[in-house]
Amino acid sequence: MTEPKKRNSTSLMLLLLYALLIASLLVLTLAGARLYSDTMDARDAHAKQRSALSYIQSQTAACGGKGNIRLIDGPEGPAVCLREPESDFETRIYLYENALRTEFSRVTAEIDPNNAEKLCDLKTFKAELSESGLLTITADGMTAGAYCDGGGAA
Amino acid sequence: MIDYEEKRSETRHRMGFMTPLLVFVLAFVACCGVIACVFLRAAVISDEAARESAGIALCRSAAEEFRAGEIPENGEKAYFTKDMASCAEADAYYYIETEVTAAETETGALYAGKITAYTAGQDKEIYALNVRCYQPKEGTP
Repeated sequence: MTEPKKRNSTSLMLLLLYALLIASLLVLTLAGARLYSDTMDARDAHAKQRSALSYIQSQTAACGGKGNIRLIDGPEGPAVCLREPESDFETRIYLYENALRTEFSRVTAEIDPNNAEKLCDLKTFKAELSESGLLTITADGMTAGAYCDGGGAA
Repeated sequence: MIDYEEKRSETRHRMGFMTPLLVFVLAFVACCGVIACVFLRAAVISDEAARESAGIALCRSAAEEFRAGEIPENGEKAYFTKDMASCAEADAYYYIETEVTAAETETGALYAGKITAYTAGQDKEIYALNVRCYQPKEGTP
């Protein structure tokens, strides 16, 4: 009568140990998956912010002044055109098919999204250029400003 | 007497089998705990990096507006969500505060601003940026 009881208690202990092992593995796997998912989301958000906002801010600062910046109508909203100083070429940044794209072409050429490179995935893109030379960009709700001081020639 | 000896032998055999297994499982659980702590630390660092990036972006944008002549009132605050979209104070995750000082000159005014980004919940400073803007008086070249 005591033999089955001893076997039962040993089996129960083994079962508990295995359950503890499996539970630890499960918690670790869930924590790792959650961390990976959050990191990927953060990476996408940062990439969008870097590409859509910081890139345009840097390009605007480098283009040489308000005279080299203009807004035109792009395929899906405004297109920011940053002209190379003393050149007939400009960099155009606009939204097309849920992505922010950049195209380098002549000032007189039509916008051609097929020649554009994708910067990042984006749903909405707006741009406004004020009289004082402040370029305000709004991308998926995030807003950034870039000041273009006087100087340069269109 | 014989039963007592048998019982001791059986117990020794059982413990001989269970003890290494128990030690292994406990060691494994301890390792899992260490790894979970590492994951937690990684998540905290990732959050801090996201906050610093957001603080820098918000301060930079405000500095560009300052340089363009859109100078806020001294101590004015602007509120933003976690996605850095403008919002009301109640929904804010970040806010920026601008301290402005002005020095009048004969030909205009030199404005100096200190733009500081904070997390809304803890009022913890994330990033600060100094910016200057000269605005000439009307009629001055």
